[in-house]
Amino acid sequence: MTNNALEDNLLLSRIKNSETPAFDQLFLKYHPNLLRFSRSLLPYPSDAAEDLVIEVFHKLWQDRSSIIIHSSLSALLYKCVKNRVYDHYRKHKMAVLTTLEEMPEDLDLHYASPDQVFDYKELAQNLERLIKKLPEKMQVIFRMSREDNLSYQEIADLLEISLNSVKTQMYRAVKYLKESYRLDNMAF
Amino acid sequence: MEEKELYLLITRYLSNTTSTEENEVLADWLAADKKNEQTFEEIKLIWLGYQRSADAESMNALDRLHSRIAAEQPALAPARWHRFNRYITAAAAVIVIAAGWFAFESLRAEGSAIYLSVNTTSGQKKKLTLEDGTKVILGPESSLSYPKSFDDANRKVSITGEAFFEVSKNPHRPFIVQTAAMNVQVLGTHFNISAGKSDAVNTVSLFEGKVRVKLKDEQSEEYMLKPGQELSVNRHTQRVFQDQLDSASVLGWLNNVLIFKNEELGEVAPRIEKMYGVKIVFTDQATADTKLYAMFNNQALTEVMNTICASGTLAYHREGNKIYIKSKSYKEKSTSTL
Repeated sequence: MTNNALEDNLLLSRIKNSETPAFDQLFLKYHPNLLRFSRSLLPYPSDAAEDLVIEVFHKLWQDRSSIIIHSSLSALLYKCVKNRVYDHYRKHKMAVLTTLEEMPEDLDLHYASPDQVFDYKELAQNLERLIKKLPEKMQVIFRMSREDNLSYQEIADLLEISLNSVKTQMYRAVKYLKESYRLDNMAF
Repeated sequence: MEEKELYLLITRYLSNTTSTEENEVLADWLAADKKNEQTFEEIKLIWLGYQRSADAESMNALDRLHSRIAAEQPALAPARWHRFNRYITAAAAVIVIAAGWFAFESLRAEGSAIYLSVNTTSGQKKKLTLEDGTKVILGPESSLSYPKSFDDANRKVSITGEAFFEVSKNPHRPFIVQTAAMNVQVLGTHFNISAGKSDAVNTVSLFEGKVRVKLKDEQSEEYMLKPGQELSVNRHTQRVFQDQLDSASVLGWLNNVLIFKNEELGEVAPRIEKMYGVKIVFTDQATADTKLYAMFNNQALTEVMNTICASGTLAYHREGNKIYIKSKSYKEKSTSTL
């Protein structure tokens, strides 16, 4: 089991024990990425994407004593968000997500070269800013894999795209970050 | 092996999900060329270098969830209620609003718009939604002046004190916040303004979106802020500082987070007073000079005071809204109970 999964299991058992700080910790851990995921699936601007994610955690708290995790907690959370997105579409009679497969643009490194030279010492901050520059869907996929430890297959299922698309997006993201980081640091 | 397969192999290796055979393939590749080692290191850097951080938006959302949960369970058994104390402290501001908002409303005509105002005392926070959907969380000892409905050209509000804004997008009607020292024009964002009445410096800190800041007295000067930056203006000297923001410090008040980085108790006391609505009295200078290095995340006042006095050299007692802190070695004429 990965470290992440171990940590999640620990948090979950504390949450079942009604320990509110553990719940807060879990929320703050997953909320940012789940929100991005939700927003990538729903047209913006609207409060629906935000409310949806909050409701998932709300339900988690309400049903905490009866939760059983089959795969991973992170995969479960993403699935819950996605289910609610579908409900939202059904309720509002919108066409079901067709834009997912349309993975965008090759990132042109020429445009990506630093518009500002980073002079922070913190690697994490640098990276976060670079990651935020990735196109929306690519960024969501990248974070699902690297931060929330979902497998490529899980990602493909959630976004309803091919496994190969996921791999391609991951590759491009890694390549972009690697090249951009090197460019930035050459300025030192 | 093509680059795509290679890069993904490296990342999977770094995530400990590769098989022995795959590891061998990777090892062979590394050994084949010195440049490969460099490539590996570069990818390792960006793959492992991350750190999760919760941003203001997530903390806000958590606050909202706290109040929903608390609203659902008003009649809790006393034992369970205690555990929810932490929720309630954070959500208190919101619950007060939900349970019959008590606003100090005064009407003031400004031009054709009628302006309302909302005020908070120390220890109090208020949250409100403006006519256009913009959400404002007003910190302690602050006041916000806003029109009942915005006019067609733009959306103007003014504040003293501290507030966190979530402005709803509308490119046709710019949102403008006025403080003593500056006008902040907003382009769909989340940002924090700190502009206390007695503060020499007004600061705007941006989390998401874009803002344009104009100085009150020099209309020609304009500054654009990007997320993660903050701008401070000294009201008197008009000097401007632009900096990276430390979100935990800036938004401390939003989530009842207090951070003291080796600061003297006398210096930090006002922040405690403001957040909890109490008055702190030092019985001697030595106590006020005591240095403190601590972080309090949304804790009840008693816990904060107990922690401050945990070192053993200080003691406190409370009388109503006043808190007296003294050095334990301080000799008093009369005995006092703690």
